Amino acid sequence: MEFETKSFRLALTDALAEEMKRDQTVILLGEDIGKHGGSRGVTRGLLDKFGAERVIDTPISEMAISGAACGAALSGLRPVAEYYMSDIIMFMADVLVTSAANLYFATGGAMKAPMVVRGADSSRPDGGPHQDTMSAWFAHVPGLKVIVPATPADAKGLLKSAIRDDAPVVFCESMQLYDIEGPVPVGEHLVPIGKADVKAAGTDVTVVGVGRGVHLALAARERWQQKGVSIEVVDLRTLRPLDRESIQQSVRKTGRLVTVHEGWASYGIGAEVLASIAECGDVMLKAPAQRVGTCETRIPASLVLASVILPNEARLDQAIEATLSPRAGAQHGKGDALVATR
Amino acid sequence: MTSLETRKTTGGAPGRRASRNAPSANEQKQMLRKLILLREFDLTCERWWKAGEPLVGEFHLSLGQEGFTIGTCAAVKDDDLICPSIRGMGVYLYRGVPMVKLIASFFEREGSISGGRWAHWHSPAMDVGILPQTGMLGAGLVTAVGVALTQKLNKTGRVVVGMLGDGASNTGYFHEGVNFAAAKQLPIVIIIENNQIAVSTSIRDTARVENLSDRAKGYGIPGQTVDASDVFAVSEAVAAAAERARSGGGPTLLELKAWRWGGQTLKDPDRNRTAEQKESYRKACPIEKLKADMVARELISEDEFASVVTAVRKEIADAESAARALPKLDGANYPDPVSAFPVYATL
Repeated sequence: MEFETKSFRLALTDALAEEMKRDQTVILLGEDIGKHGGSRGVTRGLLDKFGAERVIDTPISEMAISGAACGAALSGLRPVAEYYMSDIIMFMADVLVTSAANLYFATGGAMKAPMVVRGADSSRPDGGPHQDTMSAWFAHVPGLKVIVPATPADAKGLLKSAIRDDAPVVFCESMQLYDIEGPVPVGEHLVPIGKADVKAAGTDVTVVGVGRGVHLALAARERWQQKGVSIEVVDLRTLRPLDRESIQQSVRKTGRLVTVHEGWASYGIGAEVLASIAECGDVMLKAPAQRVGTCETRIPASLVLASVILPNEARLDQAIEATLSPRAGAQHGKGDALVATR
Repeated sequence: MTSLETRKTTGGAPGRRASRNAPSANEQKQMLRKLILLREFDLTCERWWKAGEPLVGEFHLSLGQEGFTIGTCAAVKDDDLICPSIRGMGVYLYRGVPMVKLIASFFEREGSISGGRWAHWHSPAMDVGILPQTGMLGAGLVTAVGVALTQKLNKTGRVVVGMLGDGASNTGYFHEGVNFAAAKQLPIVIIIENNQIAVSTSIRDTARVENLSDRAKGYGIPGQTVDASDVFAVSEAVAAAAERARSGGGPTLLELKAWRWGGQTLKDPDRNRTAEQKESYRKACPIEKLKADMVARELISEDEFASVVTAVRKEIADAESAARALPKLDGANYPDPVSAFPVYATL
């Protein structure tokens, strides 16, 4: 397979452009997505390519954007709606949950809302608001699909799959990943929804990551390799449907599990990953599993403070350490399982 | 379906009827029958409720405000799309959704409009152009706006009618939906069914404008208020708005005014309004008004009117019997509910 180096952002732009070219029913809706190119530059150039009929600049009206996307979807179009920044998706939550997610179920499959809601999720500490990570909220809801890509290739392949999918899809783009570059297959590239990916194989500890967490995990793998510890990095890529089998397969091999993602650990993505192991009869842990998430508080505007609160190298290392020598966690006096998350 | 598109449009002051071509005798008879159908259907539901019949769902009756849905349905084309309000039973009945499917959902039977999955007043009937009312109050409007976007982009020539109550017109959804539709000049008719009260709160206490259609000015679209006790005034206004939408003129905001005679739902005792108030609302009856007009023009006799009511009652009673004959929904028939009621993504 031939690859080209692309930024995460451009990989997304390519995905939109290719799908719009392939399928006339694909339209874009969002604030400043035309000339301005969207809040993160993902739709740059698409207005010129596809015109204002299909690249629709909207008022600052998330309820109407998501609602119109739902309506357009149930009547034959495939809209991709952009939300400006992470927590702004909460304005769209009602439409996503009570309208879009419900439609297929409530009509016994007669109607569907093939829409994608995409935008910047998670934090980029810059002294301001909009730092929350909402993906787990939507992963809680049957009827929605939730995608959090970590690499440019996955970003492209999963967005294309999301647009072609008949379910309403929440597509969360990690704020700090827009500028990363990576190899993207040249030509048509689709990544299946609901399949995790082993980003790096290992034998001693499974670190399940999401979004920026995958990159934290890969960096940790390098550090621990020097200490003779082999880490397997599993990138979930899709939160719903969740690829439990890939998680179980990896932990069956390593017997040790750490999860790392933005967003709170309690009732969070890591909790569901742990449940996949706890509920599985033939996977035994050699040490208590560890969750690394955003600390159980609000995210400070201060960059320094935020870097402590958000998942970071130090807390991830502590969690990995705790799975290798469980007593290390106990020494902190907070119990093994909680050392990394609190 | 009666097409009123050739009639002159009103240009008059809000709440007043401008001159127009008189509807034909047939149009009047059909309209009267539809009004009676909705009235009798609601009264039947009320009777079941009072008799202690275990009914599933909420019943937002249209008593006194039948003109909203019946007048609207009469004005648009068969293939135009309507997103009803929560008080939209008239749309289902006018467009011929089998009554047995509606009643089956009340009685929790197999074969109902929702299959027991959704509230009967949220359920779509796409074969007759009824859109799902979807989620929260006002959410129906924004999805209707999206359906209108599809009609515009696909150049279908179809118009969408989005209906919502006076209460829902105070939501953020209303502002965003109307403005969005206006900004994009979408083929939609936005109808506020102003029955003057949202659950227990008078619209007078929640909005300062005299007529809710006054808000249209702020969105740069035409607005009009119509007394919905005159069902032909409603259909005339909706027909004009639909024609404007169809010809690329964008949305219109129509406020239809009437009084909600009963409570918010059958369960609501409506204690905050006095008996005198409630009695006074009944003076504005769309059926009495049309009947009086038709009697005066010798288009119908008292006997003929009574025979229409009898025929409609029989139709409803037959549907009731058919619904009662359907098997009851039974959880035991769904040992694997996730497979029986699929969603796109389970964990």
